Amino acid sequence: MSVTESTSASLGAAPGAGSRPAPNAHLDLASDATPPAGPSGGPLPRRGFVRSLLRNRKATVGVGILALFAALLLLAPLLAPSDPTLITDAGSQPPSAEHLLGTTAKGQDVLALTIWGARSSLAVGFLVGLAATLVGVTVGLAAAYFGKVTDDVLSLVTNVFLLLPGLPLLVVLAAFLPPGTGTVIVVLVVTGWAGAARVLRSLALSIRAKDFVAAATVTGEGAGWVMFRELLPNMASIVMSTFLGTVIFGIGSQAGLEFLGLGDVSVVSWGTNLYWASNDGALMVGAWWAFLPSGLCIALVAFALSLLNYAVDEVTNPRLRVPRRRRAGVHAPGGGTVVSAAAGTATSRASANGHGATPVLEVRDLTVEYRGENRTVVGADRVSFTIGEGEVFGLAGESGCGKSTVAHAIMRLLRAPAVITGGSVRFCGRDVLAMPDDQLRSFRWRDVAMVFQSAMSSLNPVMTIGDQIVDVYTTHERVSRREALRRAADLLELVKIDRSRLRAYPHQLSGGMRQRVVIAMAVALRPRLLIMDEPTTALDVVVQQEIMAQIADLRRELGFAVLFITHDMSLMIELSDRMAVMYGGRFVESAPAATILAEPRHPYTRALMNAFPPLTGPRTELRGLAEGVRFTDIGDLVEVAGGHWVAPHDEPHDAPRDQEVPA
Amino acid sequence: MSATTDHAPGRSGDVTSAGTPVVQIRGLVKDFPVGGLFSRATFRALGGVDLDVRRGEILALVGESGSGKSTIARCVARLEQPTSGTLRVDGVDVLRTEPRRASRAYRAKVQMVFQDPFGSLNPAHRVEHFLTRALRLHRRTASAVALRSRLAELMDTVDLDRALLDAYPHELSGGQRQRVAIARALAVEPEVILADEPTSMLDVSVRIGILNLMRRLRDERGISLLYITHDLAAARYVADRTTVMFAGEVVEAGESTALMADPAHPYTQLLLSAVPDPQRAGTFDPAERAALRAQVLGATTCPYAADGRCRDDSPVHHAVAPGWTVRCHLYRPQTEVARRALDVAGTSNA
Repeated sequence: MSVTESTSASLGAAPGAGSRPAPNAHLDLASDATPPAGPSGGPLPRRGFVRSLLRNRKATVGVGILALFAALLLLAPLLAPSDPTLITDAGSQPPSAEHLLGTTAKGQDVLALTIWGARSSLAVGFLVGLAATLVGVTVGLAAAYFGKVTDDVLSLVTNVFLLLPGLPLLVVLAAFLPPGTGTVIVVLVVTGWAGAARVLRSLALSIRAKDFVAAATVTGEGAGWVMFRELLPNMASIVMSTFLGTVIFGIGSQAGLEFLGLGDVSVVSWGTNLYWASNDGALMVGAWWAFLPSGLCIALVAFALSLLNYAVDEVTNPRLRVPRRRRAGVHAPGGGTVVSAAAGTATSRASANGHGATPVLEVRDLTVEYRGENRTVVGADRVSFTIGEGEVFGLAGESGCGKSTVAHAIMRLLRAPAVITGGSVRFCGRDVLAMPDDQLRSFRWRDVAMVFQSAMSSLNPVMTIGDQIVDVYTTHERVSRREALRRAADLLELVKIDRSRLRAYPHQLSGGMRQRVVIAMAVALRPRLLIMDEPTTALDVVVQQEIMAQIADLRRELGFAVLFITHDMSLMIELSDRMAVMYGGRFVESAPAATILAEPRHPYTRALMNAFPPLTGPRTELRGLAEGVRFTDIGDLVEVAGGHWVAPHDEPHDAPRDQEVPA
Repeated sequence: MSATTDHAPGRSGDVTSAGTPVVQIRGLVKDFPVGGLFSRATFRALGGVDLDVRRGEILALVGESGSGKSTIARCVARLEQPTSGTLRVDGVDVLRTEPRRASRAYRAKVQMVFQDPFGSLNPAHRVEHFLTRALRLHRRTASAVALRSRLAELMDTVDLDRALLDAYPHELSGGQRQRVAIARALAVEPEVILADEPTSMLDVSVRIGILNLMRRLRDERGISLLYITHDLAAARYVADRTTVMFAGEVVEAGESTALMADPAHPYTQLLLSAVPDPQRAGTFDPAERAALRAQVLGATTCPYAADGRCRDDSPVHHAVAPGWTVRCHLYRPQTEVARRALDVAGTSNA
């Protein structure tokens, strides 16, 4: 962390040229441009889990408190050698040098009682936690794995146990069974497993649906193996927190039961301590010391376990840890001017050939870094291009190449740890990176709109389509609801959806329709630039083609420019006027789409082109990029023909191995 | 469409048995329950599918999502129980002989590679684990030494560095993971691999590598593959024959290049016309093509026109050429419609 802070501080002082990354910075294909992040759900990160847990402050405090109690428990004979139940004459004495925590009404030493009480309380708590978790895991896994009748029966039983009022059941069971610590444990497990089972069942169900379970089944694995070796390891963090939760439940409930006199009152535990204190009327005579130590111990242990639980959550789900930083992502306030003043370099000129005198968008030497704890990854490296009025500019590349990073940077949607460290973004001459928040808000929908790959699922499922479009108008323009509704209907018809669908909810529309609604909303305020980040990747070809036709129609009607991002070269060449191919955060080639189609120069461009076999002509062997091939040290673009810019290149470091003759 | 039911003997690679189906599906129906607990409503995902996967061929199954192509694979992999129909593998009517769950012997013949390599490898295990389990379960290795050499061999087959045996899935790229998944299927030494969209989640530059690997497995090991995809160009590139599905039915089947050069079914024509192809770029404005498409489809009452004719009166299979069938009311040899559709697809009628 400290590294990040110090670098960003120096950047704040001297933005611009000085902060440029080394020119040979690159990403490899295998790694994503997004910062390294652990799994977001159940599975524990395999390496360094314990280490990161110990680095977590909550966990350290929690473990510390628990260790203290463990020491108390183990060293009880040393710390309080006298029999804690020994009755003496010195009853109801407040804390003193002789009795550090005073004595009970019967003259027993409270300190000794508290120390010895830890043994029973913690033992019962952990045993209950262990047993209830074990039962819960087995029931949850079996229900989720076998499904159907097994699931119905097990879920029914689980729900019955959950619905049974816990405390009365505890009381009834405890009253009927012979008193003793064993009984308490049995009673608590019976009442405590169901919650664990329900949580673990639903988790197991979601993992059950994953392909790796089907894959294991196809390989020939049996039920037991799949449940305990495939499903269970992926539930580790939840199982752990379930265990911690049931331990808390065990300790608390045991104390409750014993306080009510339903346990074995001759056993020394925190619960029985409270029971006797209450029985002896300690509170009425003001003998707080008889209550407080045991009560505090229970609270402390529960606190420590909860802290540990939180810590497990945080370590396994890194999103909880990301510090909220306001206006993260922009680190060059005013720096844009500095850089664009020096924008006469070869890279920058590569983009100077868009049509139109005043470009809609002008990106110069845009550099974005992802700053991890241990390393910094360059997401976009001195990227420059312009988009003219009404032009379609394509940005092609694969996952992790930085194309989405560029789009997000233009919209200033980057969040920490991504930081814009250099370059400028100008929209119709205005410096986007220097815009204050209020201007940014109107810039974002009114001037430039964006459609994401997952846009279909970005519609609010509990609001009608109409309400969502109306919202766009009413938040951005001063219009009445009636007027907004009228415009919403017009907008739907613009994307060829019947206006009766205004009252529909998103789930009532097909995927293609939803995507069209999203596009309609994006162009609702007539932006001059539409950024589309893989807008059709999740759609079928026929629907994809309809969407593309739709965008072409809209463009004719509304005349906006498009920044089109995709990995599908065929689609891009069909749709774009000019395009660039991006790799490892850098542009490797930039030219009119027809030129790229006719004579791709860079080997990476050629690999992308080759990835799509033709639909006509003879079937010949194609070669993609072999696994592990990397391009490094990508230089600045050089103009090889009018408007055709290519990065200097060698052939790939590791040429694909020779394969068989063409079919 | 050949309806042979030979009890094909021997394992793959037997030249004489090439052409006889290793997987034979007849009248496969799959209904999924829809609605709540007490609802009896069902959705028919497969409406009586006939399909043969021949020995040592790659058969592509194309269609949009929801057309039922993955359901076929999951039924053959015995991950779903078909509602009715027969499934023969090596001539054995497996739904009869092992009705409840597949035997290990069956698993040894039929393996599957899933669409999402990020989901099909358990993140908790190392690469070595997946391969070792497959080898152990099917007793493909005798000793520890043999195991090591077999693991290395498998990694070589799928072009992966042996050092990656110790890697966890999250340390691999999508393409590498998919190669691990293929290696796991190969470890069992299967006769058929069901490949359910194995490249659609991969970066485009490594897709061809996976397709080439599939071709190599067919050519060098005689493995049959059922390749499920929505990508017609990939199907044409890799598959000997292609079967087109629409709404749970097979609408057209035939030799891949011939079928795609001259599609007979309006739906196949539509699918082809929708595929972006740089070679056609510039010749087709998307909007123009959409208009053309609407014209073609309006004229032909294809499934999209939804006039209900196909629902009320199920069309039969017409033979276009030997080994090439189309299931459509509108099929007429060399009709005006077909020719116009060809123009749409931008293909030349040889």
